[in-house]
Amino acid sequence: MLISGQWLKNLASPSKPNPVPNTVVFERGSLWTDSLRSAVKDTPLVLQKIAEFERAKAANPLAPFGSSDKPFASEGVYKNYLQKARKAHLSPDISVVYELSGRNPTTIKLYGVFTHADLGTGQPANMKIQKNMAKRMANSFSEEVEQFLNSLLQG
Amino acid sequence: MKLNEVTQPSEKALFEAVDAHNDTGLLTEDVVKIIRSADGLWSGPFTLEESIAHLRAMAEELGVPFEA
Repeated sequence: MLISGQWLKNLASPSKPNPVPNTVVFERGSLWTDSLRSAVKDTPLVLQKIAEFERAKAANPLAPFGSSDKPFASEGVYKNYLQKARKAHLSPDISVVYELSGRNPTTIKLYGVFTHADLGTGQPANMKIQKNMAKRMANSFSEEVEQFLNSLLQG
Repeated sequence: MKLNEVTQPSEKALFEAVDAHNDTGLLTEDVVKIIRSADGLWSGPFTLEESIAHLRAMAEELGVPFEA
């Protein structure tokens, strides 16, 4: 008589509870809405792609959203400021920048939706833009708050 | 001092960065509190359904197609 290994496992631990499903929540950074609006103007389907991205991440946060879904290069500027951030292409020129943390809930921080030009990662790469954008994302200050604080700091 | 000069994630490093440039007349610890209060202006957590609703509203506002 043949008995499958899985059947034996189930028999060995009949009361083993099912794993608790992981809850996924999202948070938007201060650049998120403006960057998304800007991307939509040139590429209306970006909204649809973001919905696909969020659905995929809600189902399995660790599964990459396509082959481009990776952390920033370890030697790059972005890695210095955003150690845990990743980016995934929504189109050949547009990427979503995000970060994963925790489990149940897993929080997905949405930094923004940017073109290669926005990120300074086009050809040729623009290190000044990369540094400025990395700082902006790292701080996640809104422009208004930044102006206010700068005025305060300058007395 | 410009705000974008202050990008230190740790409390100690932020304090030192602000302190090195603080010519405001305010206590450095108070300036740090102001910066921290505005730092990381994240939306707070929301669910997938709430996010899809937000995207749908944006699509309607901008007049672009959205099927979800």
